[in-house]
Amino acid sequence: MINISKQHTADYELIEVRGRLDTSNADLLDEPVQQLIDNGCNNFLFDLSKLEYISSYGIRIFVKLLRHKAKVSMVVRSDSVFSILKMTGLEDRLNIKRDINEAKKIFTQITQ
Amino acid sequence: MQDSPVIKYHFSLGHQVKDIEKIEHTIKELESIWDIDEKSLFQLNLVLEELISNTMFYGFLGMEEGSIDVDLSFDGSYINVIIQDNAKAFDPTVEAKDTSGHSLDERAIGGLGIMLSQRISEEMNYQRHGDLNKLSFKINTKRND
Repeated sequence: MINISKQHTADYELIEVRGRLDTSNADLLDEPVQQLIDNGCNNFLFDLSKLEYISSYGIRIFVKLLRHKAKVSMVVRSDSVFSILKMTGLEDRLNIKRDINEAKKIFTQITQ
Repeated sequence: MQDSPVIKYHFSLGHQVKDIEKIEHTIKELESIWDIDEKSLFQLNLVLEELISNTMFYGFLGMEEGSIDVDLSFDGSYINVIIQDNAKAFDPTVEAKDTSGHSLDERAIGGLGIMLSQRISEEMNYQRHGDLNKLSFKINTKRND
């Protein structure tokens, strides 16, 4: 089960993903993210604080954003999710934070 | 000191991608019958999903029938896994070492699932027996990373 919501703000696209992001449902996140890329959006904040599970099919979406030179930041609370993202070696480029205010700072620092 | 009893579990999947859902159901069932932490089950779920989805997307491509058998056992420290399927020959222990052709980014995306499986598991071993792929590995539930 996955639940995705998105919101446009002045500084970034806020995308909240709850539940499980895996082989069976990664397209549900990939499609709106691709649309935002096509529309020229460049800053993405993912609220993954209620994400319980992620596999490589979900992680590939974040890797794709980095390849498009997008600025990505994310909030992660689950130790298991954090551990898997860390294993990719992309921890710094994904700006993984435990607190949403810390994740937001990445974008406010850019626009100032 | 007495060794913990080994608890075994077996499940089978067909060759269709929708069968992957069975992995999540299995993990939920193991949660109730094995005394094991959430992180180790998360890692088991991930490695099974990565390896089995790879077999379904590529190994069974063009095949009308196929089956995957998974044997799990837990001895209190290690989860031992054996995956057998009748898909095309594929050795993920070699795939992870592939350095030919692609750029680093392309390899990172295409082989991400295999790479994560390699990093989580220990003693991964592949054998081809006739028409069968046999992959075995362990997950150390006491590892801290």
